[in-house]
Amino acid sequence: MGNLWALYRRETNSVFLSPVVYLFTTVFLVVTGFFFYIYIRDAQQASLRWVFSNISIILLFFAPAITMRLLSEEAKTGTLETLMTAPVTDIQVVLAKFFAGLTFYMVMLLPTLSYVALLRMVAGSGVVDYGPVLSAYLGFILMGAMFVSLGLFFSSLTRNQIVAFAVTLATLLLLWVVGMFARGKTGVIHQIIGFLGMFEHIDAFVKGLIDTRDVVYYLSTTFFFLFLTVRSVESRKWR
Amino acid sequence: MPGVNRATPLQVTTRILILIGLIALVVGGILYEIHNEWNAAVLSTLISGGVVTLLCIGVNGAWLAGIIFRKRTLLDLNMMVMVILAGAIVGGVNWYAQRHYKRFDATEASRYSLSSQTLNLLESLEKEVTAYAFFTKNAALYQDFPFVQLASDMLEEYQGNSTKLKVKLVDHMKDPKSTRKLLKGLNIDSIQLNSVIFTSGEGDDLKTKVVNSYDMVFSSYSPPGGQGDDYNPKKFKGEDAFTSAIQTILDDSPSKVYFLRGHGERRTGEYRPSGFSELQGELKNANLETEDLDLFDKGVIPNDCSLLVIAGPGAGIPEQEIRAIRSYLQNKNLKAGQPPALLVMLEPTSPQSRPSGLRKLLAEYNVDVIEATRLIDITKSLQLTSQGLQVKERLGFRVAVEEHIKHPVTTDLSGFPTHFTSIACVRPLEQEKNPEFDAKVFLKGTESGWGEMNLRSLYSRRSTAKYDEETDIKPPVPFGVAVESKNEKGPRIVVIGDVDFATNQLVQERGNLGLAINSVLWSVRKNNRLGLPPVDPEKTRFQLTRKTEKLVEFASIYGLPGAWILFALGIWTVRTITTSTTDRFLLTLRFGLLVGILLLIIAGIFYSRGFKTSYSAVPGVIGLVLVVFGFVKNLEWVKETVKNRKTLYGANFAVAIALSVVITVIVNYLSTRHYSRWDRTENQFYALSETTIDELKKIDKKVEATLLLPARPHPLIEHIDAILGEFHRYSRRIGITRIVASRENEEEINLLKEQLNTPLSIADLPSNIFISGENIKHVTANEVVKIERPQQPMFPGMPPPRQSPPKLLGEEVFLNAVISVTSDQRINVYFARGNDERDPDSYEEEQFGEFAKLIKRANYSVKTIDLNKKDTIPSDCNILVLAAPKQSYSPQAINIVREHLNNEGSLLVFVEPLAISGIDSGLSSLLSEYDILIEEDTLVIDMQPQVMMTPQGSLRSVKRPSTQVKVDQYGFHNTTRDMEGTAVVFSLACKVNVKEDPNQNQFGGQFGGRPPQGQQGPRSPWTTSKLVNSSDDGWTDRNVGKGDSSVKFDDGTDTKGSAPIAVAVAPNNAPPPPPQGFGGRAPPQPPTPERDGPNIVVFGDADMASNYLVRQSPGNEKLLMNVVRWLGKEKSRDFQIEPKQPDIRPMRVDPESSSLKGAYYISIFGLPILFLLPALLIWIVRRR
Repeated sequence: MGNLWALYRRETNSVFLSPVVYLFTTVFLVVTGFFFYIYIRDAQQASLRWVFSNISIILLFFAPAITMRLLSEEAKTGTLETLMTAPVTDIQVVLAKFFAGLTFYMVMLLPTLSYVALLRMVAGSGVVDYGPVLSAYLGFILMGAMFVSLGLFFSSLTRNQIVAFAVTLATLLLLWVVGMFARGKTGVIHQIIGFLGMFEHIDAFVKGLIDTRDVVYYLSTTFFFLFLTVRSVESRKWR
Repeated sequence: MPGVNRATPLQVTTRILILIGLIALVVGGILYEIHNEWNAAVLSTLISGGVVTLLCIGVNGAWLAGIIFRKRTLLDLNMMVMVILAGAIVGGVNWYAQRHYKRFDATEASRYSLSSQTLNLLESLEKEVTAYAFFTKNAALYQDFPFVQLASDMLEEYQGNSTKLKVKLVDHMKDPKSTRKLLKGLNIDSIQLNSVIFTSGEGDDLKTKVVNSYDMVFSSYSPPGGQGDDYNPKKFKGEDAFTSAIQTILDDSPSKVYFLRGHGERRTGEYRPSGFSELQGELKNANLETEDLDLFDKGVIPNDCSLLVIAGPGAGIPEQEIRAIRSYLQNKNLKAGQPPALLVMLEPTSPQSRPSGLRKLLAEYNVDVIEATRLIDITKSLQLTSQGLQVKERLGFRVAVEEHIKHPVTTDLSGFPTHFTSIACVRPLEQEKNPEFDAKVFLKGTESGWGEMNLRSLYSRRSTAKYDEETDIKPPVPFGVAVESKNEKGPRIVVIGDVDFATNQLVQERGNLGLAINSVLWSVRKNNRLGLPPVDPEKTRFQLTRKTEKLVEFASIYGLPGAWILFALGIWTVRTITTSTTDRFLLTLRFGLLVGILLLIIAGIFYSRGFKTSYSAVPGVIGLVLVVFGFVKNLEWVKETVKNRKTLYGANFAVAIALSVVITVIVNYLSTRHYSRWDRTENQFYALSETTIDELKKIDKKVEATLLLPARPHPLIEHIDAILGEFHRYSRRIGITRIVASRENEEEINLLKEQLNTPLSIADLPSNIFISGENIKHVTANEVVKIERPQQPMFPGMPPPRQSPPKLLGEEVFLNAVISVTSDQRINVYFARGNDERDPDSYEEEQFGEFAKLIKRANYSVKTIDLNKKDTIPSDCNILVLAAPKQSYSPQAINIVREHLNNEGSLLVFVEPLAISGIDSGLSSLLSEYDILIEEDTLVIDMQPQVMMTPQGSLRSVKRPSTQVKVDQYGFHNTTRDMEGTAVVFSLACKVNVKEDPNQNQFGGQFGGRPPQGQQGPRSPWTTSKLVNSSDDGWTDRNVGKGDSSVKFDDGTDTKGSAPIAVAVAPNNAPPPPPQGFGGRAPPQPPTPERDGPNIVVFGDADMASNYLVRQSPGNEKLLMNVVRWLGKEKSRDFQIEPKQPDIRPMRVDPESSSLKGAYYISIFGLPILFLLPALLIWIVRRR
């Protein structure tokens, strides 16, 4: 546990002491702020459902950028080998990277909570339903865990950050469109394809429903990609 | 390399062939999926692929074994197995989670949670239930039912709480074929959008219940003195509807409803308006079986009868049958254990019907039935008379009940009025005969309706119904009573004094169906309506003020990211301070310097966005202080930084970027000013015609075209944008501004409104406003589109042709607008005054204020002139309007008008029938000089369909003579060229005719036409046209106002057939007919010089241009404006440009078709595999 904590601190320090993370978050906030403003101005509804739906799509484009460097940079600079020789396990390395990425993701998301306060200020007290807000953020965290684990896995496969970014983005886009593809279709295959669509699972959170199926989906896929990442890191030793 | 065995060319080839063979196997599989049969193509591909693969594997066996059994492959394999195992575990966990899940509703109103009643029902489900949800999210259809998402969520909740309930989504818009098949299997003819069908069982045991979208909506109305019209009107009551539906289909003991017959009752299987087939279908939906019962044959009421319905007996029920009914109600033949129930729907007695004979029987249950009465109520309607629009009160038999008395029978009818016609009185007995029964009124008439007891007078030819306090039943008249026994096994009886409300004709009117079904369900003690509370829609509107909007804009777009940057700078400074050896104070000031720059930027943004001065001043001043102070104190550091090589490189780089940006901006700016476009579309959708280009090049004045766009995307924008873009391209004098109709642009929109002097409606968007100097022209969205109605089939029985797609007239209307605003031609319309004509400044119903407003909107001036006080009409008068004078024009005034016509001025005349105006306008002799014959002593009568009530109370559509003439067919003329499919309404019109021209009007039907060659007569100086005729089955009445006030055809004086009621006259500019020779070609004719002269239009009715009809009938507005434009000889109307056809290419593809499947596989799998192929080939060759 101590090793994991040390690795996590090392990783988060390197992330948060770099100006990139702040610039990155600024861009994210400008984009989401724009969507928030447009919605409030045009719809004048005391609900953040539409804004949250858009944020989940924006996150899809930002998440690969968070994860692209996590392992590939270390592999490229050769520090991964050094790390592998240190008295830490592969799982600890992967989990430290994963939690660091997730922390970055959550910190990036954190300022958007101010939209709720802003909406309350504009719409008045007693109008905003906070239940769906809480469930939406829970959903974002679970979805973020999946995004980060997936990105981490592709980052472990290549030394090139651009390749890691592109493949992660392509996979996330694929997981986005498969859900739309299967919508309204019947049959087992379509049901399975539809189930894989990640935005089908965030919908319930955004509207205020916490469904164990969605929780299991995000947690299990996170576990799955973390497992793949561990195997991928491990395979470097015998390749 | 020595020691390494290189593959032979044969081995390489066969390895490639393995790949090709595998691909062939995949392609074979796809082909089978597409064709869905083992045809030659599928088999040959699969077999050849298989054979090639196997053979080549045989040849490369050693190579493959080497690959498979080497250590790395085994390790890879090991990893793959682990991955597959992990995937399987993940899949298994998810599969389990799908089957056993919990949902936690985090919403404040527990919007997605089910009630305990529903959960208990779902838990106790023993039979399989399937819910087919026919939901659509199509934008246009979605508006009708805003709860699609909520309904889907709720159904999912149902499914999640029961293993026996399955929800299947059916997208009938995408796959109508499967939908039809499904409905056929469920024995359902049709289904409404956004409905849900609950089913249980199969074959003969199949039970279905349809929940329509309106069943899921609860409409509440604003309470008097409540929150006004904005009161949230709709809630979602899906749970109530769904749970009731499940209860209904699970009901194993369907109730049987017998309909008594043999006495002229309404028939269940009857599909005519007076029949009960609709109600029968609805009862079936409610799981109630229906059957007819002839008591004369059977003698007794069957044991399985849950309810006996007596629906409007027209003849008396014999005493023997009454006895059978009495026996049934007394439980004497009750064996099935169902308490008896009776539903009686009565009709008042009339010359055609006798009392039902039920009075005595019902009195035993404390119900007093008075059939020898008829409820008469006052209905108000607006009618147009020669005095304008008046509210007329009429006595009628129809009653609409808005407020229902609270009773289980009237449950859920709040906000849904029920409609009745021909009503008898039903009330509780004043003195109870039987204390065991409790009779309660649940329906009563209004405070103005009474029960007329003098039916003989009512049905006489000279009916004069009047409330008589002594004899008539005083208002409000009760006509619905429900009887309940104090004994649980006792009968329930519902008696309603009307049967028409439940007929096919009226049962679908608002609350009627609910009342009919409730009456049945309450009688049979099946209260399937649970009364679960409706759910509020999620969204709550709030009003955003300009101030709060700015605040949100600042905080979300600038504030939050700005704060984040500050936070980052803070971290950077702290880190620098802690790690640097430099003085901490100076470092802090450097941080302040950066913060100051940021604050200055924020101040600049505030200033540019129009925030309060103080908002931009505060950060500006603080920023400036920080920058100056930080700069002064860190001067050395700044100098060093500036001199630093890295800074110089940075500055160099920044200058290079700035230069590139400037060059890019300049290049793009120039390209927007000087550009070419090539329209490669088949229909030249984006290109202008030669005529338009020529006209645009002639424009010598500046025109500002403002395109006012709706906030949401609109299908017309592309067309308008394309056309206006081209206008600007060919004439730089036309400037284009785009404004989106949003709060942000409120000021600009208000300014436009002021300039236009007319309200701007959302329906008019996208609007185009052309301004040149003081001239302004408004072109609305409707003017840009032309929708043509489908033509009627040529022969009866032929299918009507498809509706043609709309045509886009942007090019023509914009060109006309541009020409109009740039033209110096100013058209003045003078309304004559002094003879009590209609007033163009008044907005009373019969006056002409709206008409004048239309004229002004077309950029014309409206003025008035008193013909009695002037010697001449001003020379700037283009159109003189004589609008139905109530005093005859003097000879002097007539001479002034004649002079105006001689000066080539136009004339618009509205005359009224003598019977209405009471005077002769004095215009007939003047107009006859222009071949116009006005017949003011006539009244044109048209036959118009009207819905009438028969003495039996049923409604029937009959054609009746009417003084209102509604036309939708017009003569061929410039003013009527775009009127097709638009109706114009005239009220109290006289005949206006034109002199018969031997060259015109006698060969081409009612609107005139050209004679055959060689039959022309002498030429008239005037071209006459009949614009509007009444229909052929009407007549021209010449007796009205001459002692005969009745509207009746008189053989001696009246003229049968259509009559013209609007005519137009213009100078005849047609070339004289060529002399007819025998053989050879006619000699060429010299061109006829264009002769200008007066254009005249005469309407035989003034009401058609009154405020009332102009507001009510868009056709009137259109025809009047066409007439005014034609009379004004507006230059712009000369342009007629071919409309654009939108590029709509509908494609109907069967979802099961092999071509669609092929496209699916090729696009999703085929193309990616094609690009994978070279990679595999390279791999094989490189491994050699």
